[in-house]
Amino acid sequence: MNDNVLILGNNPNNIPLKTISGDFQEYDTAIIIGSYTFNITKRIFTDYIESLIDMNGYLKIEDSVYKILHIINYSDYQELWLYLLNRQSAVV
Amino acid sequence: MELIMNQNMDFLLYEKGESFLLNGVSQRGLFIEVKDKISFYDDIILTSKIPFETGDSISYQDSNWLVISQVQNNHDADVSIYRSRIRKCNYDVNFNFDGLVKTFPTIIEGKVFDVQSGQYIMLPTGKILVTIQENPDTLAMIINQRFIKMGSAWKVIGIDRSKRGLIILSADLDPFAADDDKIKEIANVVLYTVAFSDTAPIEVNIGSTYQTTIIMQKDGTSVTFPSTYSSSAANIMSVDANGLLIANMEGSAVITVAKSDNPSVSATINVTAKINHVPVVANTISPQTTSMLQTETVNYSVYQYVDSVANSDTFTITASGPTTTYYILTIVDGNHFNIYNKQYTTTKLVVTCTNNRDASSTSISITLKGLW
Repeated sequence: MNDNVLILGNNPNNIPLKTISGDFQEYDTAIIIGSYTFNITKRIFTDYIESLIDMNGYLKIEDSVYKILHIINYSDYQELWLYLLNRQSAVV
Repeated sequence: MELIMNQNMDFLLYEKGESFLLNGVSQRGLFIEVKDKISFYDDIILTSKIPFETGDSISYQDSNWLVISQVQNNHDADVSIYRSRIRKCNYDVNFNFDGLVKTFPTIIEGKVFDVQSGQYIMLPTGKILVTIQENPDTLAMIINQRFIKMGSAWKVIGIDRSKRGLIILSADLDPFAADDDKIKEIANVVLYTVAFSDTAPIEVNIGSTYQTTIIMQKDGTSVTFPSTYSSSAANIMSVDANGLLIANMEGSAVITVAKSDNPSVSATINVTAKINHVPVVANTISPQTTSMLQTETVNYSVYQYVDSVANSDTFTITASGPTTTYYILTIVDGNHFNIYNKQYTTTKLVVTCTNNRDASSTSISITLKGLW
């Protein structure tokens, strides 16, 4: 749990709302929205349920911005599936 | 895992959306090619957060598209998401409205979709369908209106306005006419012209008016058509609806007259508003020598001055008073004379100079003195 995670809220262009710690990991799955397929290359575990994180949220980790596309809430921690935005230049 | 499109629309528009113009206004939307059936059309389903209407004009990837139908939102009841089927316009067509040529992006088809067979069938040779946006311009289309496209002339034989937002023209191949411009693809070219017949620049004194005159022609024949006047500087020279100039303050302006329904048919003329100047005119004899000693000769000149500048007027010079026993008047030309004082007299010599052009006159009264 030593990776810095900046919570950007519901807009990738926001300034960070809060910094939390998480366990940032490689991951490989996909999520389909309509006719679009988004490869999930990362996931992160937080050691508590963060109220600022929701399905519309964006995170900035290691200078890259990710969209949260799936949230699994466990009893006292949560798992977030992250999609690396193609439009990084607009937000980084 | 699959997520619902509408619930992620902001993200989709941000990440996958593309810019386009909807009726000239920049928007962002999702463009998904239609794959629901075999089609030779470039149809796309456009999804965005702004409402569409059938017939809306879309500019996307340097091409014009028409919204040919609004697609039912069948995922959920989210009314903030809008979908439409758009079709690429394959031709820009020039339509000539009595000399005013307007260009419309159109979808020209030589085939129609047969609902019963589920197939596209060819239209008979020499017949096409032209789909265009319904707007005030295209609503002016009439039966027998002609246009030129694909190297041929076409005549509108049917106008289907049953599809709101779109007009579908049925057109038949038509022989070329003598006034067709095949190069510019303009049918039945009509040349309207308008010109001022006044001599430029028109000068008008401040506070005064001047009625301009124009010549209007259609294909070289005099006609009249509604025209509109305007001034580049109405504070200097204003113009009314009939071409009457009113000079307001000193300066210059350009007056434009244009055909009301086609401003490209226009003419201009330079005008000047000037201060009303009353010139100072004076007939002047010089020198102003009014006394001469005996045996003295004085050479005089006489000119008419306008604003202190001598003009070319000449004068008739006469003398009155004493007899010629006392003086000699020598007239050199119409502007010069001299007087010689022969001897003293108490009667004053009056020399009168009468302008040969305007009959105005001036005179000088000279005392003929003795030897001292």
